[in-house]
Amino acid sequence: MAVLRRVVTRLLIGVGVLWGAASLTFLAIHLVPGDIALLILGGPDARPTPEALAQVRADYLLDQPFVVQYGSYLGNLLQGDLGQSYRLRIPVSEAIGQQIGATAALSAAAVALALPLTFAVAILSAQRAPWIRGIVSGIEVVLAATPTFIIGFALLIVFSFTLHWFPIGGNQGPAALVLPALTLALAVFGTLSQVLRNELEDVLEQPFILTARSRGLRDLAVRFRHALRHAIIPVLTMSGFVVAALLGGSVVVETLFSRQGLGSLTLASVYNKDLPVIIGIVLLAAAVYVVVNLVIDLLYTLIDPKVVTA
Amino acid sequence: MTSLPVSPVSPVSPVSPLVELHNLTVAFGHGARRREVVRGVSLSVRPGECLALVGESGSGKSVTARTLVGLTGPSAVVRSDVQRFGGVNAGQWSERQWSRVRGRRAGFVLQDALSSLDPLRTIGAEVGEVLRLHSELDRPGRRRRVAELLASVGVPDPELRADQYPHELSGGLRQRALIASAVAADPALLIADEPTTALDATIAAQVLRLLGGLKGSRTGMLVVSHDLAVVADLADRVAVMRDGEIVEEGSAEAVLRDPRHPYTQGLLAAVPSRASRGRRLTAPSSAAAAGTPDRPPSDAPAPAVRDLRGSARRSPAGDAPILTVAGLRKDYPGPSRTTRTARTAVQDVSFTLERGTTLGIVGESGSGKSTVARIVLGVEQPDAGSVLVHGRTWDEHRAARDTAARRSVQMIYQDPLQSFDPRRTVRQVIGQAVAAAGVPRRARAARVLDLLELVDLPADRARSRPLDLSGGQRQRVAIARALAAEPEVIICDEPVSALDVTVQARILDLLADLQERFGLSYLFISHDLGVIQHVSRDVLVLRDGVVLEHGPVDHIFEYPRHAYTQHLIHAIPALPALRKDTVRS
Repeated sequence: MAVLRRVVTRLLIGVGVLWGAASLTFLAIHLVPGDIALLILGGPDARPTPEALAQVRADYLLDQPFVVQYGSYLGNLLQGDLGQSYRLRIPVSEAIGQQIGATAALSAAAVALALPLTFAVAILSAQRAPWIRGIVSGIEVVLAATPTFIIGFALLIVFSFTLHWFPIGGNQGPAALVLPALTLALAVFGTLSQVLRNELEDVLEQPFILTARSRGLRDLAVRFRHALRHAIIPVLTMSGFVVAALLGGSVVVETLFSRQGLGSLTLASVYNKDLPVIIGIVLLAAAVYVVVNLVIDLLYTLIDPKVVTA
Repeated sequence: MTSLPVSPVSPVSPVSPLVELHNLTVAFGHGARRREVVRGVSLSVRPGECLALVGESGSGKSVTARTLVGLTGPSAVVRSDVQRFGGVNAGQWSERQWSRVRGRRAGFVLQDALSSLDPLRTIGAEVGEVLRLHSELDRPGRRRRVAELLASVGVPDPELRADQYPHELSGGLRQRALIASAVAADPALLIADEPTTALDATIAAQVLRLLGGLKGSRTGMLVVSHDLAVVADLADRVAVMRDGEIVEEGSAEAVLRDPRHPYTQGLLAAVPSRASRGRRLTAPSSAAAAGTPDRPPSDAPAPAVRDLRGSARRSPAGDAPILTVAGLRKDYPGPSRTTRTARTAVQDVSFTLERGTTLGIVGESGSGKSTVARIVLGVEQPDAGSVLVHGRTWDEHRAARDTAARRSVQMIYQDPLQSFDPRRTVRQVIGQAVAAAGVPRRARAARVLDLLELVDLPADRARSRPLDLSGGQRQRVAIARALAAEPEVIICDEPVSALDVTVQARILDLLADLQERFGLSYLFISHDLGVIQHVSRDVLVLRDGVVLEHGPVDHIFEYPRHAYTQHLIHAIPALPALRKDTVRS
């Protein structure tokens, strides 16, 4: 019952977040200088007739007051209508739908690489000899601090140009996914592993860990069965960071590896001021955030019995 | 109870020890930072015997106990001439060999079950873990056995409790659950490290009785404690540790009745009780041991004394009460939002406090002691009743802008660390209180030093930060901060409950000295009846927010009217009477 109320509350808050994101984006677009009607007709180079411009203004309510435009925009959103891409001349949902699969595959692969790597490294290196921790921690700091495109270049130089193990780019086959996913995964791993190890080391100092050892539990079992569950909570909290890293990183990585996906779609839309697509992507990102945070919230309840009420 | 398969060692003869250590040395760190925390300790525990390891915190007693099961941690360097476990040489055992012994042949009970049980696991899972590791039982079998074990240590509704988390249980039940997990595999050796320190007196007495019952003919026990009184009933032999060495060892009878070593004598004398009232708990030299070798004799008035005496003139002479509390009542909203029934924390509490006297307030956790303190301090509003300081309520003082009255009631807490900003130095902590008392900027530094001297802290401690101080030193800083306001009343909320017996003794002596010199009145809150009997003139027994008894301490402890008071008095751990010639004058 408490859990249900919690879910409903969070969902309502999520709707609020989406409304906020939609409104801010709408506002931002209207503050950007430039004639939207001109953009719709293909920019100044298209040299549209004044009649065509007036027609577009009437069609898109651009001659109406701001409030009317905003109202019709929200109304369309509520019906699931994101509008048409200026550039591609297809509905925004279709434009996003074509690209979302590639990015989802990339993100999923990155998470599938990053999480096991993070857990293995953090669990094995926590509370070890200083020189082990120094080396591991040093690598993590370098990975966390290096921009994604440099990690990507380094991987390309080693594994594609030199060793020829993986293709340089493109969307063809699982082999093409390895290097982009690894690039994203390493950036996420660097930060998460630091957080997880610090947390594990705090937990391993707790008296209940000593009690667990005094029962005859071996070291690795103590780490997995007792310490990990405590240490995972701050890592969960950082999942928001992970989502941001994956979405933001995909723009860089898809460009670098010339992949199709939401990242390249975002970039092209920004270049071309394709406003409906930009709005669609912003809303999608906000929705992903809302859902991820809702799931995290429920996971807290599963992990920590003391978290019950909202 | 079904007995689990006995450990695979050949049956030990009754005299051969379960564990044996000769000339143990444990050190932490390397090179210049190497610290030896245990030096040349030898001990053994035989079946059916209970050895008590007694000493202050930092004496090496816990480290010694952990060495017995190989749990000193990777940073410790452990050396000994002989280390045997169950008659087998264990000196070179690997972690893997130790893990086979732990839980099965040696159970370990730590202090404070709240942090010693995994807060994210049910107590059933915690107790069951031992069975999972050391028995052949399947899951339903383990569940049944866990319930049996919980029942055997006196946990009511064991099936229900097994599914609860540590934070859902009371302190006593948690400690019982922790003991159940230690004895789950029926080990021949039970090690208990401060098993009762975090508990109320009556609960502690129950846990001690439980441990005493577990000491069978086959089971040996090692109990670690800072309090001789706690182990008096339980132990057959007592070893007193100080600075990593055993200074005295013998039968409990001999050590407690006829202590040979001055340190043991000091430990025994430091236990506050009714008999100790009016005398110092520490030898005069212990003030020097606290770190102030060049302290002026306490009867020579320091400059600060005159300041305080000046302020003391404010209070009217004679026995007019400084503090009059009448008919206090405080309700709190119910714990959950669905059941809005109010919980009455305090009901009809009345008392007066006279100049230079101490009123002890006794009660267990949840009895409303701290609520009374907060209302008297004026940080909480009572729902009914009044608090008069010099005949006026806090509201009247506020209306009259009488900040001197505000400052005249101060408070010190059980854990001063939580009331200090950890980033500030001692000088800043006290300096802030000095400034609040209206001391001009130029005079503040000197005043801080005076206050440090009053509480027997060396002047160089002014640069320390709270985290670098020991528990006793922190409490001294808290007292100095309270004194900065030149108070007439100090509310002491469990001020010595977190301290070792010897440190507690020094703080109690300090409070007694300050009372004598400045005519301070104390409202002294404690769950420890020994402490209350030592410090109080009058006593107030609180239970569930209601005053059960109120009167002179001697009268109440001689003729307790209420069954609950009798129960409390019964729970005081008693030391056997010392032989006459060993009592220091």
